[in-house]
Amino acid sequence: MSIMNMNLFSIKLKRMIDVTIILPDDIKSNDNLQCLWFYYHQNISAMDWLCHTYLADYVNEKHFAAIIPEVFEISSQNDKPIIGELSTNIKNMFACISEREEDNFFDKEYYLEYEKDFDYTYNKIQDAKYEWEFLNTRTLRFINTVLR
Amino acid sequence: MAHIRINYHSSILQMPIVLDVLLPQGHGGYKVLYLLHGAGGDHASWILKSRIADYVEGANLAVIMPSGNNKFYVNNINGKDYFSFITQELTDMCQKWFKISKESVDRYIAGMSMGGYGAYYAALKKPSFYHCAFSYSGLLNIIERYKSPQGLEMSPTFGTKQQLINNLYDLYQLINNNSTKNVDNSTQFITFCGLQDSKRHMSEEFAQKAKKAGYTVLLQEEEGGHNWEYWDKCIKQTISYIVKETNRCR
Repeated sequence: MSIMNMNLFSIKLKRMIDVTIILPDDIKSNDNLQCLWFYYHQNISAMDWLCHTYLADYVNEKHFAAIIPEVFEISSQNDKPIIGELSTNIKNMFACISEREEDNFFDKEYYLEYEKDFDYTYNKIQDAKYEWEFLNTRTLRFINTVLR
Repeated sequence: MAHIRINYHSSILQMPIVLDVLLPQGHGGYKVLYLLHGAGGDHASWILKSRIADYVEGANLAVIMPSGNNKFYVNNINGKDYFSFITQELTDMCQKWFKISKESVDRYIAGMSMGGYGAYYAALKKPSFYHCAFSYSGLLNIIERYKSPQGLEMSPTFGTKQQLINNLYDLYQLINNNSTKNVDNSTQFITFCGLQDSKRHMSEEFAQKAKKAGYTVLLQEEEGGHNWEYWDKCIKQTISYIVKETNRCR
């Protein structure tokens, strides 16, 4: 798979932002990849997804694009303009990612549930390894729920 | 404009590859410049040593900067196929990933020193694949360079001197070979060289011989040496040239 670390300017946030994009190996010329957007809790980063989960492998196996924006403002209530702008940028720049709204999945509910479940569970277990297993399990569940 | 650092596994090189890309944040269909570094450098050289990010801003031009790993951007006789990687796989992958133009008229290649040789080698080996090829202080006489390797291992790349000649790694042999086969090459060759560069004669010799063989060649010599201060000026002029061409075509 290809791992892309992108740094670009956000008009909405008025600063440069980092975005990690994972693409599968076998992209064809007219591919329109479904795209999953991964929010995350402020305690972790895009690198944690790469280091501690099998997300990159899932991208290759199930042939989709994964986008992990390193933008903490997304966790707030006002994330729609930021994601909207970033989504437009991705559509304009990438030939292989589908432009259709129905092919782009932003699982806000997943994020909120993660935060609620994780905080409760983490307080109970206090185990970093558990956090990664939790993250991986939820990641796979998200993927399996939304992909055709 | 976005800066993207890409890690992926090259199927031609059979190894992980890192490249840097500068990509406009607009609506696609951009011209693309494949920009090659020199010996001792890597995918980050142009970003770190020049102000290319500033020059490209607003130019509606995508810039792709791969690593050459000191292998002269050729299919190594005792190693990996860097020419095939640059001209086939990398081009193909970038066109699949990004909304860049797929037309030859929108495709450029450039490089400094070893990268200048690599750019001209690619443009001669794949006639008319690139609209323009730019060499900045290029090591355009590879036989002379082979005799004076300056710490680089030449034989894994080129083999013996006879193998270098037999396998047409020499740019002049490529020109002769193309002439013999009546190969048409519409690529423009634009050669930059500093007046204080000790390898200046290579650029002058190439310009003279390529012109005689019927190629479109422009030789630009000005104050400067074999250094980044000069190459920074070169890339700035290159980008201006491409932008002017784009505006002229509209």
